[in-house]
Amino acid sequence: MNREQFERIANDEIDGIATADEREALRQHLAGDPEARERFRELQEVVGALNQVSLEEPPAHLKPSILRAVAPRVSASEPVTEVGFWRSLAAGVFQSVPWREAVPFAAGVGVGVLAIGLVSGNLVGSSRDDLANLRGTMAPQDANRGTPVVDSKTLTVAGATVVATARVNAPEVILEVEVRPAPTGDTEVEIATRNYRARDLRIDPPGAGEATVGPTVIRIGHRAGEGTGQYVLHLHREAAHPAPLEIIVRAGGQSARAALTTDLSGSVEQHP
Amino acid sequence: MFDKDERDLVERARRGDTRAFSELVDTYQRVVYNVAFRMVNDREDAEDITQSVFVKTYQNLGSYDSRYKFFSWVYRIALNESLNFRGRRRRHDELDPELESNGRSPDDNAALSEVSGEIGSALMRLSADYRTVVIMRHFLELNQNEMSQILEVPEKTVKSRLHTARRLLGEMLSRKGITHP
Repeated sequence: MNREQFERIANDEIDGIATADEREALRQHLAGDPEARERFRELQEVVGALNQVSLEEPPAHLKPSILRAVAPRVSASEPVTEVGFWRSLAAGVFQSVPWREAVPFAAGVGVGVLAIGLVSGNLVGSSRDDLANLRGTMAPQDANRGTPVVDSKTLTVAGATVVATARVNAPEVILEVEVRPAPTGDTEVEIATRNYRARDLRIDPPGAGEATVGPTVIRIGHRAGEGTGQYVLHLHREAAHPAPLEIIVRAGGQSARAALTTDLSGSVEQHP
Repeated sequence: MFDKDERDLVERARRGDTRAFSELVDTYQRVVYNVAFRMVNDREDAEDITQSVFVKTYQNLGSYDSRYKFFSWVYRIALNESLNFRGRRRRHDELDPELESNGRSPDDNAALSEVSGEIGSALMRLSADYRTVVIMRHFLELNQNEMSQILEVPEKTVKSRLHTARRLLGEMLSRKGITHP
């Protein structure tokens, strides 16, 4: 048995695929060749060491981040049923984004999708970490009329005007954000929503801009030239006395900030 | 998992059923993560790669040919992603392979057993072709036929690479005292 044959048969023996004849030939070769015995022992040790290495458990946050990364991005109030739409959107958004950078955004995607699912009534038994198949349409546009307004703020930045209004029917909060964009560039609105859970998002008109809904922040991006857009967010208060909704508007390199209370103990103004 | 169940899951995932896709992630994330970890020897990078693998898997479900085993397809994506990641990282950092194994945090080093750590380091000194076959054989427990299909090379080539890889690992581990000289 030459060296090449020896190496092949020895490895096959280790892998459990040597034939009976090969096994016998190997046994005879090892019996008469101390150097071959040494090489075979080393091979057994290497394979033994490799087999000692057990698989590691992936971290618990990995699966949720994967599911969020493949989830669709909320971008309009139109019914969405085309899988191809989701795929192409996911492809564009997530193709080259490492999870560490994508998590804040993807988390928003997950919750936003969950919100649509809840409205559609088809998302049964799902959690933020375990998204289900989504089908459905959005809530009627004028369903909010008659819900008391608790607070309203107007912020003007670099030609952009944002009017944020909180309607409250505890524990539900309806946040209406009207964006009249700056003449040039994007107008961004960031809403800190700690203590609230986003349940629904509607953009009117559809495609006016984009919003991502995260566990603690909602981000709206509205482009110049899109005209006025209204973003209606349904939030669920998760604390008896939640912190105010913090709103930051950025446009033209400037920013403005305001806090919007949802506390019913403040003055309540009834809007038609 | 029975093949039929898996085919059903894949078909449902293909139609956009993210619950079915979630089950596929359950089935394969551990293996994919470990492939990535052993290919790049870094846990955080392995997480990024694993996510990327499943995003690509999801995006490309439409092009998956169900005549072939789903795991073969997923493993191939995992290996390609790991190799591409390493290629990008190498261009970025130009790391010395000798230094790569020391790039882990002290906590990581403490958490790794000596054998596992030394094997991880030794694997990183192998060329990608050799490292790949070792991972497929010893961590994925694939046979040579499966490896041949995934790598799209003849079984003879798989065998040759595996034997050489084992011999090189033997020399490295022997120098480290993991195996006896």
